[in-house]
Amino acid sequence: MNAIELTNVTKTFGKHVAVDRLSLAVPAGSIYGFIGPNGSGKTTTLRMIMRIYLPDSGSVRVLGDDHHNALDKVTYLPEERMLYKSMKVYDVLKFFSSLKGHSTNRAEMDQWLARLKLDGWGDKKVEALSKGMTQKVQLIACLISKPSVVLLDEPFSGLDPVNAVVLRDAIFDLRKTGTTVIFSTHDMSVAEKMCDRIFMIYKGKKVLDGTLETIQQQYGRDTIRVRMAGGNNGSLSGLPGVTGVVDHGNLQELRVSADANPQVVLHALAERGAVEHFEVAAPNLHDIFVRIAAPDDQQFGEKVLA
Amino acid sequence: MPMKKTLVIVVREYLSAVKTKSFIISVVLMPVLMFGGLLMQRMTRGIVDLKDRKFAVIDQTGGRMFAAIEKANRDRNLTITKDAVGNPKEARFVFELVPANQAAGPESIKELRYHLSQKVEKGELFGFAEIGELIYEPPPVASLASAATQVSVREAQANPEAALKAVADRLGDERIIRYTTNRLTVMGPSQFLQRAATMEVYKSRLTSAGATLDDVTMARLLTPPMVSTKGAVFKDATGKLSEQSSGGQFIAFFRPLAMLMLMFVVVMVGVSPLTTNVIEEKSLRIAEVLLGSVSPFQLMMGKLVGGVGVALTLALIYLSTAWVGLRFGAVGIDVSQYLTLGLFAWFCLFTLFAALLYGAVFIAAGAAVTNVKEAQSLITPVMLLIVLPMFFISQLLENPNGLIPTFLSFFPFSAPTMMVARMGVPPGPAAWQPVVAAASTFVATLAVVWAAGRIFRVGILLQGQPAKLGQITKWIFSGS
Repeated sequence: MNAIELTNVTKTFGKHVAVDRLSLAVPAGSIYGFIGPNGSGKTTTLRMIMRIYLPDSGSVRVLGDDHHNALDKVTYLPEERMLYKSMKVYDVLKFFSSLKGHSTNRAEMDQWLARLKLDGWGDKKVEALSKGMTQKVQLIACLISKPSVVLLDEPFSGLDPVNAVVLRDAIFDLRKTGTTVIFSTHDMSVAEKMCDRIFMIYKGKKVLDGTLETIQQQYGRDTIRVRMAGGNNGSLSGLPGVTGVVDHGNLQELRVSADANPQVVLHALAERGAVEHFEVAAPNLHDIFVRIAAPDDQQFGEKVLA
Repeated sequence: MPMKKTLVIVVREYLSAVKTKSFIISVVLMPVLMFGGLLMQRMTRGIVDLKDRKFAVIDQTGGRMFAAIEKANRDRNLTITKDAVGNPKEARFVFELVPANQAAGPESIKELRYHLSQKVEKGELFGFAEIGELIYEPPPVASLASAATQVSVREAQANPEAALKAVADRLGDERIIRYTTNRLTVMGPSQFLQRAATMEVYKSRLTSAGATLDDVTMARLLTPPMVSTKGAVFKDATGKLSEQSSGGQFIAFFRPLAMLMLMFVVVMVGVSPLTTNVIEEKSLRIAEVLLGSVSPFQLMMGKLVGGVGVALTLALIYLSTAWVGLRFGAVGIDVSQYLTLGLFAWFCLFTLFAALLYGAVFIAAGAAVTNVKEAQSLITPVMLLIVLPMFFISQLLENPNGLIPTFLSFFPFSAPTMMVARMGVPPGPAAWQPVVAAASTFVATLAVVWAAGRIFRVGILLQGQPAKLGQITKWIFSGS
């Protein structure tokens, strides 16, 4: 069963097409990553799922229903998120949970606060909390009503590493209970490591959708990572079949054309110096993202990745 | 379920408003601002400056009038009301005669006035009076009137006092008592001089006319008759005929003003914060989370009803405090006589409409802008509408059924305050008028709430630029 189904959804603002004939199926119980450059339509898509925006055409089904009421089982954490500053933490949690038709109690709230290391802060006003604490309260507000689907817009932005781990664990716990989690992120390594499936939207259109493996398969093993003794001293230019070079300092990445033979490249490199490291690999999500979002930059190089 | 969610918003809005310090402060502060002046006056009545007040007198009647003033002042100083422990409640007056030779000639009199004014400035004198040499003569009002004013000779003869006032500026210094002070608001000394001089002049004129009377008889004979204004006689519930008390008259006069002010305050304190409230939710992106649970219209209605609840709570607090205060306080007035159940019900109904109507406008304004500063330009015209009846208070009290008050009591944005105020002035408008005004306000309220809902739906997620008026109109009619 799919938790979310979008069929041919289009949303325009004036003359700008924010989302263009988008179809997407999010399987129940999965962790789904939304990636895409700023302004590509991620947030608009999330808002349409929440029925904050209604699509101009196409249909949005949430948990098999296309009515607003289905949203009682769906919670949403927007990107730039804040809370009512003068409310107490307990009151905030009670308010947001009752908006989802869930009646929470003190014990349940305390349990959540303890889980996110906020013991004893329930009676404090939101304005007394630090930014990180506020973000955790927002997360609790989002999860306390035991939703079936959770939409998180850039949940990791602004979190320190410790709190990022807390959030990551919370997301994995949700998956264990069968909750579907959709989150958008600009951190490709997070998407790679955490998501069962990844969806990329670019200029309102779907450009990637699938598991990391299936996405990488589309691009083949077109990347060679090398380290030369003495570093990159110009010895990497003009290699046969190599279309681009990116210098990571201690490691250089070469993109090779589809018909290039890695053995020929290795041979050519060996003639130019001592090869300390040579690895033929599939492009990572970061590379794929950049190739889609910056297609005009054919240099595959410093300008984009530096 | 949708109703339940709206209720969740209503409760939050209501509690977040009434639990704030600013609400508690405004509950206390508003009546203090409105009635504090009266209260302070009452409280400080006993605290007066008891230092002697010195006056210089230039007497062009050769000391005759000064002697009369001195005598009247001696009586005054002896009889100044004493408080419980025997201390005087007012300051004593001291009059000094300026030697006549100092005031000879028109130039020297100006010099003298300057000299005395300096003393007034320094606080050595409270003021000074100049008695005109012809003060005992009846002023030639009739000739002055016919010469240069619109008062006819006949009118001047029939009512010399009114005619005298009409030509007062044309009387020369020789026919008046000039009183100079820099304490223009203190009326006591000039009133005292008026009284003392009136008695003295009357006495002199009667004596010239052949009546020789002692001072006590004179004072008794010259006591004017009293006109006392009373309220209408009414039948109470038991059929007994009763008359309005004098405290009741006070209430009858202030009732329309108090109701108008109360509704204004209640609406302003109750629903005007909705604008900043909506702006806050927009800028903090709380609106986005809320809209994931409720529809924009539910969210708006939740806010609106919460705000209206705050307004009605305030009205209830003020009205019950006033009722208890007047009923059981020092005044001891049976308020039910002046605030009948019917009038109370109309007041509540119109307050409800006003709060809904203006609340919807305040919410829409908040949704259409991105910060408080931008909101001001949208709200100011609305504020003008709500204060409109204040500009016509005198017309209201003079002629509550006149053209302007009647028109304003049917125009939806001013109808609630104006109609209730008109109903507060006896005998009040015809019975059908409040019904029609309520109906028209109700229809307008529905329309405004609907339009606000359309604006809110689009505006609540708007970031960056504030919406232009044309855009807002488009939101209302085309929905996006």
